[in-house]
Amino acid sequence: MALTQPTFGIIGYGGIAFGVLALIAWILLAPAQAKGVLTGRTVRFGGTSLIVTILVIVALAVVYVLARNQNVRVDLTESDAYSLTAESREAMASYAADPTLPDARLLAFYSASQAGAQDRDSALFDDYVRNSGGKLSYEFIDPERNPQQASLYGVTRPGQIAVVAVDPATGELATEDAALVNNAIQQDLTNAIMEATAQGQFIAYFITSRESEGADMTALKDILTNRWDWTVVDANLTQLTSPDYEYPLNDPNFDGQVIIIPGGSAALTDEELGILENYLANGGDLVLYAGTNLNPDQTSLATSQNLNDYLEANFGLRIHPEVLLDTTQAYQTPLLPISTNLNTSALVTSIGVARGQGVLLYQAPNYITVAETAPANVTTTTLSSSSDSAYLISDLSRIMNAQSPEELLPQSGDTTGRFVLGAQAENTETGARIVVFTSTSIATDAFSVLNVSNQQVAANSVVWATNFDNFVSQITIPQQQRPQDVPLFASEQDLRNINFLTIIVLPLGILGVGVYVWWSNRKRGQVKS
Amino acid sequence: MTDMPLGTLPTEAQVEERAVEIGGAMPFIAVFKREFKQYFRSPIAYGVAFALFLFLGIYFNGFVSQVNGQMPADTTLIPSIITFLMFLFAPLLTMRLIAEETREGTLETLMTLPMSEWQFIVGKFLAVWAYYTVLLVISLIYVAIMSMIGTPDYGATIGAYFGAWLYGGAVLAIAMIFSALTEDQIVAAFLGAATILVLYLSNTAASALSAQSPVLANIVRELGLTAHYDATMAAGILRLEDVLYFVFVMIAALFITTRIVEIRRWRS
Repeated sequence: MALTQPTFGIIGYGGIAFGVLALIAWILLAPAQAKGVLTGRTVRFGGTSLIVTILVIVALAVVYVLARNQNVRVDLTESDAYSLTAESREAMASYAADPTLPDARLLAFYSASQAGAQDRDSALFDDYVRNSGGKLSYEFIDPERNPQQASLYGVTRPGQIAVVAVDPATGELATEDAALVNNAIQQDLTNAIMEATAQGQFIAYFITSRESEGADMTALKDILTNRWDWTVVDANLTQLTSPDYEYPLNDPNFDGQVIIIPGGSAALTDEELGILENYLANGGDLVLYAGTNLNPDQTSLATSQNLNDYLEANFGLRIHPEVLLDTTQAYQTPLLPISTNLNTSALVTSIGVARGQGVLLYQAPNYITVAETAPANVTTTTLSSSSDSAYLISDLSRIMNAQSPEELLPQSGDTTGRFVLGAQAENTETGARIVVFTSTSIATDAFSVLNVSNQQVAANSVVWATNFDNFVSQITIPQQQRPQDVPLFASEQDLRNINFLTIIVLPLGILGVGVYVWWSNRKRGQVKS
Repeated sequence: MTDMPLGTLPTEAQVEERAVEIGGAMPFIAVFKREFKQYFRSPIAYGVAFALFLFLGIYFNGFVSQVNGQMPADTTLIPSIITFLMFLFAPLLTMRLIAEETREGTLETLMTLPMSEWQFIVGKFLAVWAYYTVLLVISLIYVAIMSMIGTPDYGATIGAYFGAWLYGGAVLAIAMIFSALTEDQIVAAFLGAATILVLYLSNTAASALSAQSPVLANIVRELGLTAHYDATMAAGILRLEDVLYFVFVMIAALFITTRIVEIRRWRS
């Protein structure tokens, strides 16, 4: 099209030249007429009108720009959708008052097509800035024009907001600790600000040993690092006490540390056990998953005598080497028994798993005995147990050499009954907490994809062991639910009534009045004529 | 008015007295009353209202059925829909206002009355705005229904309705320009609808322009109608700049309309 041509071209210039020549010709041939047109009433008044109109519009535009710069706005919503609620205001006040908490920035990744949302949400962001005592700031970034920055914060779609703490030492954004929020929802934003600026430092040590399965626990590690912002390291126990190690045990800079033993086929050395004992004696936390002892040596770290002698003496728990099978409550094979007996008040159900609905799937587990009389200052709690039809096989070669499923069926001499498969213990004097499960299946990736509670219980075990829930509750600000947030509800009859009123009565009523008015006017007109 | 011999110019006091007869101290009130009554005698106004409420009714039913038990009661929806539909209804309501007077030659007669063009235009505008206000008030029936089946956010409702009221005033004023510009009502309606639609879609245009020129995109956006309503007033945020935008658009549009009527008068 001509309008989109980059060059004007000969036709365009020729047209202009022709027009100018025609105008000159007209002035030369009819000067009186041309003068009359230029000085006539219409043009004078018209010209003045045009100037005055432009002046008025410019004046209005100037006033508008001045008013816009004042940034005067009122949030009329009863639910305080675009201004801070009392809960958020209180949280921001405590954040502002705490000099140890760093400044933070809200990076709102809004695309160009979300300009309206920018206008709307900036009202909320402004309120955050006002109430944070200047510790918060915000900026809008177009993720389509800054894709690298967006990917740096894990932004996957426009509209997400990254809350990033500012490193007080360098003044730079602590990118790795950013908290990402999907929408400008106040509850999420407030909690993200609290999370990003919180000083909580937690670390989980996944102990490496022979045939340990820490590498198969990526889903759990992902929860720890990405969801809770923990530090996760794989190391052996002797490394942890090395003076040169980056994350030494009992580092006071950490608010919580937990040793996770992800299976293993060999017993701990005396040195390693000594490190563990020392750690727990000083209030350390341990989560132990027993690896299978169905190996040529028929040994595992969890069932080793030295460790269990220590656990029994200090925490009242002992893991036995017999393998537990179940024919009536199992997944596909008796070697995969299912536990539905979960403690209704302990971590397995009180932190997230619905009571009575949690199911744990074990793989060739051992079993635990809980001392009837716990050691001094120790509280022991059973977390999970097998069904009553479970049985124990002490001759492991019977399982390892089995040629058919029938060979795994219970035989006379096998001990049958309900056995403990998971337990926790706490020393109230030292603060040490341990969680023991008799199979690594609770935390390994292979079982996290099945419709069982293993993954959640694994995460909850870490939460309970480190008291992380207390920390989270400090930085989680619950918002009061308002009546405006409750979904509307209309019964079938209501819907029919609404339909009748809004589609039939209202429009047709108006039309009826219109017809009546038209008819009346028509009759009146006829009478007049 | 006291009787006066033919050929004698009225005194200032007599003109004032006549003005009071027409519309009190503010003559535009007479024009307003005349036009406002005219709306309730005109089948077109009822036709417009019928079409509007039929559409709103169908839309409202669909919305309630869809969100029943899932989402909170959203009373800002109806005013938002009305503002969108105004590109269609505003020209229909205003196309007659001045174009008809011009075509039938009654504009000349009206201009002989002791009132300025500005008062004449303002009177006409207030009449159509008042009619639009009546439509908005009727649409509160949807708020009442929502409040029976849920708990609407009345603060947001007030913001959305206030915004829709101002928005309506602005687009009606814009549509009036074209009624003054041409004698043909259909042409006036088309031009008005096109202009309002362009202003409505300016947000989309701004998005398209943002990659090339962010400054130009911002200006285009600021000039448009939706940037001052959809994301702010319709959501319950009242900004001074948005209120001023709509008020200034009304003033500017009425000013332009007045100039057009004046020019027409001088030309004749």
